[in-house]
Amino acid sequence: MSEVIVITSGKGGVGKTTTTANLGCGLAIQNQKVALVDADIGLRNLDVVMGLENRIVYDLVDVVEGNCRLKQALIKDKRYDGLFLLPAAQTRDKDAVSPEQMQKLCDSLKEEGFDYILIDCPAGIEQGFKNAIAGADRSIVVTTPEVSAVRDADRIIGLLEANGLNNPSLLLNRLRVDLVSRGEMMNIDDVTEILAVDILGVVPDDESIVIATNKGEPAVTVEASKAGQAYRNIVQRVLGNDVPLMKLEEEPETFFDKLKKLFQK
Amino acid sequence: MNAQNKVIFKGTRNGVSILFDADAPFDTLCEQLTQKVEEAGKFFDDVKTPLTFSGREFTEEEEKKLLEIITSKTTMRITFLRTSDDSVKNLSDLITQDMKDFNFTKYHRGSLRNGQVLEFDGSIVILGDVNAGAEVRATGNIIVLGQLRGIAHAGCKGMKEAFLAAAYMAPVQLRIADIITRFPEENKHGHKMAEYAFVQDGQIFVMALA
Repeated sequence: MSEVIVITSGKGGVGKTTTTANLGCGLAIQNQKVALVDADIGLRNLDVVMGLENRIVYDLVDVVEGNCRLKQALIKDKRYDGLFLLPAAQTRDKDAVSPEQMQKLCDSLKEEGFDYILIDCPAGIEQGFKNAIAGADRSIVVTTPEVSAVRDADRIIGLLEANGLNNPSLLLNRLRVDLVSRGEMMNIDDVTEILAVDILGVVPDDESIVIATNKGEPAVTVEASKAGQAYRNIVQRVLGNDVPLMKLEEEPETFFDKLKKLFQK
Repeated sequence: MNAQNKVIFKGTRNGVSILFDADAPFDTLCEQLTQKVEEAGKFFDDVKTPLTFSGREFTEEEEKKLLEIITSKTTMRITFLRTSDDSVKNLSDLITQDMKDFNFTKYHRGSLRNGQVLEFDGSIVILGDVNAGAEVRATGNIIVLGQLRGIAHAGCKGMKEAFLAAAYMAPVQLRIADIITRFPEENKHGHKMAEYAFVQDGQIFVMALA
């Protein structure tokens, strides 16, 4: 069984590419055969985040236009066996491919025997977005707990539903625990109340993500990183395992809580 | 066709059809229609049906006059008018303001998300939320059985009597007819009752539905 998952957000800079890279690596660690597709034609960076930039010979547009075979364009990851990247073209733009061509591409990737095909969607709702979602079976919407990102996520969920991708899962990225506990940032409940979709996971804001991304080594591999742990949990949920949301903060027990516990016994 | 019978009522699959004589003068048709409707008055009471005029072409004004005859003599609820060329006309474009009470209602199940617009010639009931960035426009009333956080425009073709109700009202803007207000920021937070908005003295008022 293979599944095409599009990772999208509407707003730029919320962590679509980072999420794609981390999910891809995490799934590959779990012995899944994974293809990462960069649909951000003209502004590619999934290859950079994955540290595979220097291996690109052919790209997605070459495959679509028939300049090469699909297998020639797929770059094998340097760390994990089952992980492949199909990079975007940098010298073209979004109009170089059509939704139909993307759909065909997804089908041929399925035929290659991949368990998961993750599509990194570009920001925006134009051609690039339409291309990216065309072949998808499922979608993950990435947002940060900021008003602007949540607004855009809402718009995107509407568009996904209009295109038959119902029940997208939500990934809340870059949550600042300290700000939330002071009431200065939206918490998980605030976001899920507005968006009314199932939450796939919460990734805390973490320096290790920036460090790992700059090194071209996804944080999911960093054992000590909290964000890495969050991504590992998300990978388990994508695989269909039930993992509870990570506890991000240790709340001091109040008198009222103690009282409640007493009664629950 | 019977020489005397220049107006014939017919029940069809697509509602009531009225067949008019092609050659008779318009005044005769009006007279006969009045007579027929009076005779059948009780029969059409509270019947909800689409209506088709056939047999000949009418100008908009003639159509309007015929409709007025029907609506003044009966309480038949005409849902929409179908002309002989099968184009469907919405009733409120054709008839006068006081018929607006016969507005019909669209029920929308599910939430409206950012960028989505729901428009209807009549009233709208939404079983879900209206998120920020979404818009609801109705010529009649709007009821939101959820959170209203976007823009709602009741009576958007000028009906000042329209109201707007929401289980949780926190819209960006409220519009009724041609009046536009911002919703006070301090009333957008915390627990509160369902509220409704209406126009009085040229201003939009919001009150709790208690």
